[in-house]
Amino acid sequence: MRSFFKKFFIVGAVLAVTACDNFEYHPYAADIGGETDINLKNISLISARNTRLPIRFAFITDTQTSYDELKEALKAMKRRGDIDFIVNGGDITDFGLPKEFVWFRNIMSSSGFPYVTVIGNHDTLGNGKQTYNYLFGATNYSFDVAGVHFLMLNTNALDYDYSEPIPDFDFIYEDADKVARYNGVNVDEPITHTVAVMHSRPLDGEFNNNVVRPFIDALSLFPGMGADDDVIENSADQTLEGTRRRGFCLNGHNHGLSVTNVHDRGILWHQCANMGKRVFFVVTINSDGYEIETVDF
Amino acid sequence: MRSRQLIFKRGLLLVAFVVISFAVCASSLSDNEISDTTDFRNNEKYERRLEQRQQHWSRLIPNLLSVQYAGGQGMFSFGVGWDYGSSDRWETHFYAGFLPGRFNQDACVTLTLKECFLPWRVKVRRSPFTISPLAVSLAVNSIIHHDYWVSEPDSYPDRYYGFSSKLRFQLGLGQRLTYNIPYQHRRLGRQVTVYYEVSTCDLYVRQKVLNKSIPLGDILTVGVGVIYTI
Repeated sequence: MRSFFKKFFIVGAVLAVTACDNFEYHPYAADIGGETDINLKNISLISARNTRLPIRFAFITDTQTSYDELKEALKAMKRRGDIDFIVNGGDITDFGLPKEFVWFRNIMSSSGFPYVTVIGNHDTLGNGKQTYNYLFGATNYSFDVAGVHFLMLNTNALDYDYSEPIPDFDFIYEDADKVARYNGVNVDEPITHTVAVMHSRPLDGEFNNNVVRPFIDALSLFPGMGADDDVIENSADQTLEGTRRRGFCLNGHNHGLSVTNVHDRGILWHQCANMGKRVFFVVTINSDGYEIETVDF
Repeated sequence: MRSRQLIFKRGLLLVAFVVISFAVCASSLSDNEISDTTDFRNNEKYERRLEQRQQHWSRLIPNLLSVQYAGGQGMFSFGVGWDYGSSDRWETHFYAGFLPGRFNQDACVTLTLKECFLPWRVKVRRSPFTISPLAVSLAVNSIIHHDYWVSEPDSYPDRYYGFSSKLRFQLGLGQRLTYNIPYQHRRLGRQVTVYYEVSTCDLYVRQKVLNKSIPLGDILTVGVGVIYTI
């Protein structure tokens, strides 16, 4: 009996010590060694590899408790063979834990697809805001791919106080100015489309619904989003009729599929369901406009 | 000017009151002692009650001092504890640990209340060592920082997230090796124990249950420590 315990002790001690990686100080202080500043790095890859329309990307969102499904979704995307990059609509984690961020990061980087993310409300929990900043970068940013402007916004107003403006109108106006100046200079190859990506959309519980109208006004400053820009006509789908042809939004948060023309302003919010429902969007953007395919896998 | 003088006078009166009442209490105590030594009547029950009171309160004095590295309760955590129960199988520890700051995150303190159960102690023959092949622990850990809350602040709808970012429940399994200090060599303590513990927390367990593809090793945390038993 005694020698059994002795062996038990030695085996146990050896097992524990060999798990040297696991000397964790706290669940909110888990090690996050590895790739950081991911959005910026992937933007370079995406812009370099995609210089002309059409471009095609997958939109996934709310992957928080669905790591198994995420892996299968990535396999399905690989099988299709037509996805250039992936956009994530937020809620990477359920509790803002460093390990949850790392699990997502590691699964995505081993997929081989470049990807960009926006922050979701669950990602702000605990020290999630800081972890997100460290791993992915700023929560408001933008980039251009083949004449399409991606506007990536933090719209999780409920999780912030007034010390950090949500939405950040300063950022949005400055960005709109930048795009306008770029188009002023690059007359032959201007930015023609805008995709605004955010976790929570106007009229959600998370969004600062006090500023829905000025928010849509601000979005209208971007190419394709303006009141004078082309609209979809003669569409079989009534929800699309009369809405912006080259400007639209993508969001998550509500764990369901929907298309919303907020306040009938003509800009559509295409909402994808959470990864747990085994669905993602495949968005194709061509010079005429865009198409969204809802893929169940 | 007048009000300042008034406050000063009143403050002085208050201090004088405190000093005098303390002196009276102290002197009244010594008066009791004086009367005790001169009163030779026997009051055994009283003596017994005094002794029992002393014994009961002395049980609150912790007899375990510990230091742990990692294990989900801070980089280093320092604890006081009590052992009790038959064969001292049960232990309660209270640790205060610190988390160093990193990149954009503040340093902060964590507090852990841990309950341990050690069903067996096996003496290693012809040596001063004892092995506890199993130590089961259940702990509640709190992180002291304004970013964390027990329940959502009022700005949120009720039970918006339905969890606490501040409190973590941890379950651990570990093993211990105890050196029993020979009586002649004891300075204060009678045992020194080294231990390790493999633990996990409530949120990790939930993620593992929902995702088969997460390796078990990813949700396990290791800690090592030393306990000095008095």
